[in-house]
Amino acid sequence: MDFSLLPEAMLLTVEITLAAMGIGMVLGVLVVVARRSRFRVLRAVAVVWTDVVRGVPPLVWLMLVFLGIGLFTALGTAIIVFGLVASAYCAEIYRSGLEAVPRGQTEALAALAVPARTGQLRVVAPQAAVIAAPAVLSYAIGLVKDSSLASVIGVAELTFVANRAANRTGDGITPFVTVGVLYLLFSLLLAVAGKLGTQRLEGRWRTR
Amino acid sequence: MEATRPQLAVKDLSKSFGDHTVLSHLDLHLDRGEVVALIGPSGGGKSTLLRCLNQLELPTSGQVELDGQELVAYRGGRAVASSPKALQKIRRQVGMVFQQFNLFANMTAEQNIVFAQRAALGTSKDEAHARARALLDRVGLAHKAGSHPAQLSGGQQQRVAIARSLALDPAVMLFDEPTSAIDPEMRSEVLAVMRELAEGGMTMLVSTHEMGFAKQASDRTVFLCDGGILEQGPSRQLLDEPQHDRTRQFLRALAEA
Repeated sequence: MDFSLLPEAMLLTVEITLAAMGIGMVLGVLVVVARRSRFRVLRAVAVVWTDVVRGVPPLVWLMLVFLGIGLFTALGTAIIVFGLVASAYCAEIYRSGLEAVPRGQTEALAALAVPARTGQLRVVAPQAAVIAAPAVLSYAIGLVKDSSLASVIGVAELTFVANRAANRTGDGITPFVTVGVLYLLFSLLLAVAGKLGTQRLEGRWRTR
Repeated sequence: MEATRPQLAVKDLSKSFGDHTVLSHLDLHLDRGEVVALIGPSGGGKSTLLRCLNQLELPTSGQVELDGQELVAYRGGRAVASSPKALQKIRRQVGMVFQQFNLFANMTAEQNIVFAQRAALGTSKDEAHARARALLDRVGLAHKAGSHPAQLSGGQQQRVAIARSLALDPAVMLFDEPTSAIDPEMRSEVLAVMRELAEGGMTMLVSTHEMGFAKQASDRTVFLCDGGILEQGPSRQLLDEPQHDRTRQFLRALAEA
């Protein structure tokens, strides 16, 4: 197998994962805000979004956007699709985080005449973020592996390169073991970085 | 007229949750600077009564008056949520201390007090910090200003919560079983702060199982049972010589516990 292709393939895997995660985490905030909005229409849109996006396999979304809509490059398609899918999952993770913040916090905010938005932003959201962080992290690690689906639409990421090498050389072991190890390393790296980040976020305020 | 008007008046207040009636046609007046202890069995409506006063709950019927101002708005015979502005105004004037303290977990003791002032009153940063430190000092916790709630004992957390509530300079303070969630040996530090507050002329309504506090620090004790006031009177008198069997029974059970 031609190992010189690996750095670029690795970079693509990293790029898809991080870019999609970035999109998902930011867009997820909008979705969860809509989900908790006063306006019924916004809430309905958010519910439909999360259910439809999560209810269809990512591979189908990839094909649909790449072949069906055909407006984006393969890489662009992968980032957009995985980003949108991540937004639905992140929104659900945020929502359960928000719901896990003790009710007493909201009551104290109300009793202290803190405007609702200020309270959500400064008290509820930061605590929800800490609660949600591990789940977001594990979604990101899942995405590292899901990004391999992008090979199907021709993005030359790790799995794509391994597959091509295997077809050319007839050796199915070396390429897939190699990229398998690379996926593993990336996941572990993400887990460690995420753990450190979470601890930082948590700071002192949940230690006893 | 000014002198005789009660600071806080509860008039014919009822509250039901579905079929379950928690408060039934309750009347209660607090004069300025009066300290009233609210005692009675759990589930007797103490908490609900307090929560109706700052509108954490809306009553089913009846009215609450603060300085003669009606607080509960009705539309078509049903209590409706006040506008955010009106609610804020009520809650700035009526402070509340919770059984579970409810300090903001992501902020230090000082930040809790600073944040409350800045968010609710728009106090300047410097002023809010100065006031927070003065209040922490007043409750004996100046040295814990930088601690997060998780690093404080229950008694300390409750004292910070009292300081936080006082920071908004409320006219009336409600206490919802403020020492029930605190280890017995830590209760006295909270009760001492409350006693000092009472002596300082704060109007206070305190739901409590601390008969010592009721007797020594409150002017009047109200026995709330099955959603109504069964009896009330000067604290010493009511606690030493209750008139009703039900009150006697309650006090006896409490003494034996």
